[in-house]
Amino acid sequence: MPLTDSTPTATTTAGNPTVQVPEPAVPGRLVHGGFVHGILTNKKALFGLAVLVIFALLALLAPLLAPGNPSDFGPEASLAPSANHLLGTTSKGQDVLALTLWGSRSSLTVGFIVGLAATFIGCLVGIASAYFGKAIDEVLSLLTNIFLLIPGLPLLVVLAAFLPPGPATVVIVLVITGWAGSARVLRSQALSLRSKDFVAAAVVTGEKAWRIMFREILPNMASIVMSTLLGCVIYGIGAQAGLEFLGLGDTGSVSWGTNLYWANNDGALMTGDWWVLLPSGVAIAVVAFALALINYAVDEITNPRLRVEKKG
Amino acid sequence: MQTLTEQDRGNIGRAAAPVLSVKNLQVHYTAESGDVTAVDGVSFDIGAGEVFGLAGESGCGKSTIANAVMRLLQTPAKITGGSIELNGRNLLDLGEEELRRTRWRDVAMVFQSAMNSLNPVMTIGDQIVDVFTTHERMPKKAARERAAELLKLVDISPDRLKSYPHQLSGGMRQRAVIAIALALKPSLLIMDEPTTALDVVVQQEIMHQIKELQQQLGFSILFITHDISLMVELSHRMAVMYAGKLVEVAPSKDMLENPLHPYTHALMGAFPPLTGPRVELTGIPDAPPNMAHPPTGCRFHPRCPLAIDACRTIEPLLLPGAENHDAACLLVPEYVVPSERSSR
Amino acid sequence: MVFLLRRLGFYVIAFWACITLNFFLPRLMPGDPVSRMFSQVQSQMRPDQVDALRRLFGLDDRPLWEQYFTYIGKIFRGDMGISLSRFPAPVSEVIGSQIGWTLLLGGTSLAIAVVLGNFLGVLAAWRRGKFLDSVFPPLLIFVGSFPYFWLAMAALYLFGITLGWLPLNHAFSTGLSASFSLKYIGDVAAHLILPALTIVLVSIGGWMLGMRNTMIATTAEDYITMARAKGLRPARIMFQYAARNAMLPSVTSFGMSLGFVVGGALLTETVFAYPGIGYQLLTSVQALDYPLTQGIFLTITAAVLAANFLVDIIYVRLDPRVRVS
Repeated sequence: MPLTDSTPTATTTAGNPTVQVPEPAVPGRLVHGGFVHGILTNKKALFGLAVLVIFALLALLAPLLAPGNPSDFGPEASLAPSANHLLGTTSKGQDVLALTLWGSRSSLTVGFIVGLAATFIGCLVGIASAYFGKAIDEVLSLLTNIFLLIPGLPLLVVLAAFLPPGPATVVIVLVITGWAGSARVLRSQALSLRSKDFVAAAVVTGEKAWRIMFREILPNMASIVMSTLLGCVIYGIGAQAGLEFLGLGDTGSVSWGTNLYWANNDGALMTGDWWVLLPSGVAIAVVAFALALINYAVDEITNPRLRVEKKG
Repeated sequence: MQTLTEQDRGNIGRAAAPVLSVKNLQVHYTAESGDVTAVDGVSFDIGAGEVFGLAGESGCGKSTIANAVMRLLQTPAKITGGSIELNGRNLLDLGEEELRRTRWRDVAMVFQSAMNSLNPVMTIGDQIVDVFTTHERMPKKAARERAAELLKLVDISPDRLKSYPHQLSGGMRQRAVIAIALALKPSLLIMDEPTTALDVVVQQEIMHQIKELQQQLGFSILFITHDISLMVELSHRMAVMYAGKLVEVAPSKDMLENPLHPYTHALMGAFPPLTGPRVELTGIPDAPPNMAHPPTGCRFHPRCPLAIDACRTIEPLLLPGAENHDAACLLVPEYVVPSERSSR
Repeated sequence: MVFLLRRLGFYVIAFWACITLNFFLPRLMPGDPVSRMFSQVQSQMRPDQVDALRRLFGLDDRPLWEQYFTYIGKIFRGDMGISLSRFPAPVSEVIGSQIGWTLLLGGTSLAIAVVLGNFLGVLAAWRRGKFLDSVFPPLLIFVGSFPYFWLAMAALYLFGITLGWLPLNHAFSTGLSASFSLKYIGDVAAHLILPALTIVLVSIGGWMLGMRNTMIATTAEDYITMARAKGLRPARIMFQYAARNAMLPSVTSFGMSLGFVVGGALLTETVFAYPGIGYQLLTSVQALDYPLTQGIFLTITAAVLAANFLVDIIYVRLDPRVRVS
């Protein structure tokens, strides 16, 4: 049984009224139950979660809500929103609502896969860097910083230009350009945990390195991993859309990004078919906003200083 | 160290109107777990040139008093009652701008940690200069000359004006803070644990310096510490605070020789005197009370070795227990002040 | 000084990593992008051009390491090959003719977003829970959630097409020649507004929130309490004491965010057909002009690295603690 850190969770110590500002809790040191409770009682987090659930349901139910291949051309081209086509049709006669619903499947899937993969790599690199220190840390940090500095989108464009096109390429390219930010954040967090007594105790008792990294350190930074994951998903969804908008993604698939790519290519702007452009863009924004809200809530819960004080 | 004569002690603080007069001060904190009364009905006076000590465990409310006098308390803390008169003016009546002008000119403060109370990206010189340029509209060049004089006053070489805080040692930083505090020759200097973060040798140097400066310039000091032995050395008169209330007020020498309140007794036992023979230390049992739910009656009764049944229910008042010596304890018989010395 | 040398060393390594990536990408990628390119362009080129291209992409018989060193040598002489789509203009010349527009667009929008965002962040933190603090952050996060290119299109549709207030695309009106005349400068400014506005709108929220949060942490510091006790004027405490310290992390993240700005500029340039190198990068990819693609990528990276070094120099001037150690 390893020693656990005895740092108390952040509560205003009533017995010590000279404390004017409560000490911020070390992120991740919150009791698990407290964190879940915090999320469930936070309005921002609840709103964000609700939006995500709605979008996930719409994506899952797309085949039921809009049967058939959404890319098939139809006879009714460039129609404004009406009872028949709630969101109108494209210049090729495709139903915009169907495109948006089906598009959410690719966008959400790619977004979450990229987010999970990038966070996973970030965890590996960040924790290993902090745990082993010395040369390993030097090399991994150097690598992280290089990837952080190389401008992401141009790198994305160059990689996409040389790799064979397809959905796998999109994911790989987004992960390559997206992991470094999380690695950096997670490294600094792991570094502060590395110096804690319970890790030292685990090292002394001869626990295996991977076990200490993933059973001792990782669980204690759960909330920061969570917020990195959210950030990475936002990045994944946005960057996929950007890549596909540039025509460098998988133009054969239906996603919010490709919807916008085709809309722009077919001159929807110039012909005034605003309804073709609106839904996919708003969908991206709403999902990203929902994720950002949850992220913001996680920040607030783990860092009480950011909370607005209640007026007494 | 130079000590004051008996006559000095008697005269100081009584000759003229007090510099600082705190009456029935109440400070509340709003916390999630309910309201906390951090300072409950505290009254005391500090005379001209007097060093007044305020002692007590951390969390008893002494720093809150210091911040209340500076009016630095921020939400969730709030002054809910009483008055704080500085040179006859109630600070609680001042508007923002008046308050800003009063701060540092009439009352200055030396904070606990000098490392953290100096702006890390400004030179020491600039941090002194901005006091002069703000309060006296002094041109930069003149202000810099004054700043150099101030540093000399605390034995820091004037070429340190161009240094940044991180380039100075801990003791030097605290002396620099003292220099900044004295810039406008305030009538009252509040020192909130000014030497806690320093090692003992440096602590002694600083205390010595404060004492010299005080005698030289004649300002009053509100000196706050949990270290009784330090306090006895420096202050003329002192008060002991427990759980938001003053429990004993007396000239320091009397307090040291003849503590009336059981809590003061315990505090005296908890610190070794800096000089003199070795004594056995006795701690105070248990932890300080939870201020959200303070004990009934005398707040010290749960930890008091002498507590009787009445202590649980009757709240003792701060009453004279000897000449010039007040205590708030049911066990201390009231001292009847002879009529010719009745005015305090 | 040691700090700056270390940083410089790091940037050199980072740039070297990019060159290496550039060198190996076309040579080691599956699907053989080089032959793909050749089948596309061979018919339109003279044999000597094909030969030159072949050598550029390592289809000659020299060993890989020899090609590698030749490649690095060429890069440092500014020789990034010949553009295919603008044959026979050298890549460096094509980039040189367009980088100015990107600098103008990126620089303008970055400056506005950084200055305005940080200023708003300072104010929001200083007046906790007041109007600015409660309305702006969520609003800006929401605006920032939209993809750059989508906001660009929305702005284009609204102000360009529907209202007709501002020009739709390009950096200046056709037929106008570059001069220091009021007319030309006004024309360029008019063309700049929409693309710059989009970048500012998307990026300003990040600056504001970041600054707000560090400001909140800073205002809890003892030196702020001491500054208040000193009776300094609120504006001086806010800027010289609080914001001056809170901006340090902001400066560090400035360097990191340059990459995002470049990305944003790329997308925005594409929507507005703004003739910067971001737009050119996309065109070069579509035209399979690999030398130009790579050249632009290297140039952008070099610029970002150089800007970061500049930021480091500024940081050293701003934080005396780094200066000494």
